[in-house]
Amino acid sequence: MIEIWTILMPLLRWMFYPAMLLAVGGVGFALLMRPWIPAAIDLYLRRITLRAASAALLLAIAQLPVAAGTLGGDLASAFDPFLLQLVIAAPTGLSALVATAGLVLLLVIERVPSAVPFVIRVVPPVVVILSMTLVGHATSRGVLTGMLLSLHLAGIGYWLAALLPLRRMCLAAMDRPASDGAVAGLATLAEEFGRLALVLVAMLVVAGLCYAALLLGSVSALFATAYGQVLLTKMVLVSGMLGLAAVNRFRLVPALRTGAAQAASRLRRSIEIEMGIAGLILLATSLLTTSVSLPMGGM
Amino acid sequence: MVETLRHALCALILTLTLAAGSAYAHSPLTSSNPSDGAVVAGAPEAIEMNFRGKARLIRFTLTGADGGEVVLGKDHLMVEASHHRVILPPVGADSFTARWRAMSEDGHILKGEFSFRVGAD
Repeated sequence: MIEIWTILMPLLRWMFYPAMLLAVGGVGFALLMRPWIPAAIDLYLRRITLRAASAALLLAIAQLPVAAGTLGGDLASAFDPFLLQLVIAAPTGLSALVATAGLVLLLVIERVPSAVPFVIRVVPPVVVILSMTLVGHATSRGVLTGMLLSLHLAGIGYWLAALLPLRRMCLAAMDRPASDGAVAGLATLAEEFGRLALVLVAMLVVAGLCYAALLLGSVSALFATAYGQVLLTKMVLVSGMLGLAAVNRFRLVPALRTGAAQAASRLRRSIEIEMGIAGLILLATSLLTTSVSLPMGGM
Repeated sequence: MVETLRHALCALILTLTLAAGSAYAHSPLTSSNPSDGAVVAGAPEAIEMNFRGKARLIRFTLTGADGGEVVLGKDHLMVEASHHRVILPPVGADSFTARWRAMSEDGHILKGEFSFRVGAD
C-alpha cells in the first residue's frame, strides 16, 4: 500500500516548482523585456510574480513538516520536534531556508521595483535559484552540477514566465487587424522574447542534457532504471514543448504581422498547450527529485 | 482533438504517479545480510545493511510473521555511515520483515524493506 507521504512530497514539489519558477522568471522576464512590455502587461506580470512568490514561500516552508513526515512515516512525525530539527539541519532544510530568504527579499523588492536598481532586483532570483543547488542530486557532482542546474532553472524561469503575459496579450489581440496596437505590441514582444529565447532555451537544453548525463552515467541507464525512464518521459515532453515554441517563433508570430486570420487565437491556443506540457514536465521533475534514486553513485 | 489530448494528459499523469509509487521501492540499499528472501538456519546476531553512499538510519523495525515487533536497541539509529549493523536479541524460528527509513547525505529520504526466514522449511 502506498502511504500518503509517497504522494505528498512529489505533489508539494509539483506545486512548488511552477510557483518558484514563475516568481524567479517573472523578475527576469520583466528586466530583460522591459522596453517591449506594455504598461498594463507589466502590472499583470508583477501581480503574477508576487502571487507566485507568496505561494512558493508557503510551499518552501511546508516542505519541512512534509519531509519530517516522510522520514517518520506517520502523521505525528510531521510535527515531531526531533525529526523537524533533523530536516532543518539537513540539506533539505538549508535549501528551504535559503529559498525562503530569497523569496521574502523578492516580495519586498518587487513591490517597489522602480525604486530599486537593476542589480539589486537580480539578487533575490539568484538566491532562490542557488537554494535549489544545495540539496539532492544537484550536490552529487559538486559545483559543476550546481552550475548546470542554475543555468537550467534560469532558462526555464524566463520561458515559463513569458507564457501568461503573452497569452493575456493574445486575448486582447484576438479578432483585431494587424495594424491594431494590441496586435503590433504582441508581435513585437513575442519577437523579442523569441530572439532571446533562442539563446536561453539552447542554454537550458544543453545544461539540462549535461546535468542528466552526469547523473545517469550511461545511455543504458536511460532505459533500464526508473530514474532514466522518468527522465526519458521528461525529455520527450521537452521536445514537444520545443516543437511548439518553434511553430510559434517561425509561423504564428510572423502571421501576426501579416494579419493572417485567427493568428492571435492560434498563438493563444499554442501557448496554452505549452503551459499544459510544462505542467507535465514539472511533474516528471518532481518525481526525479523526490521519488526515484540515481542509477549510479548517488542516492 | 482537445478531448483526446486531455485524455492523453490524464493517462500520462496517472502513469507518472504510479511510476512514483513503484519507483519509491527502489532504494539505494546495495545489500543486506541476511539478504531479501534468504533462509538462514540459525538466528543471526545482527542485521547488516550496505548503502551506496552515507545514510543516517532514522527508523528500523523488525516484525515476525504474526506482526509482532522484535524489541531492538537504539545504537544503530542516527549513525551516518554506508554500512549499518543492527544488533538482534535472540529470536526463534520465524519469518521476519525488516523495514527501514534513512536520510542520505544530500537530504534525500530513503526507505525500504526486506524479508528473511530463520529456520528450515
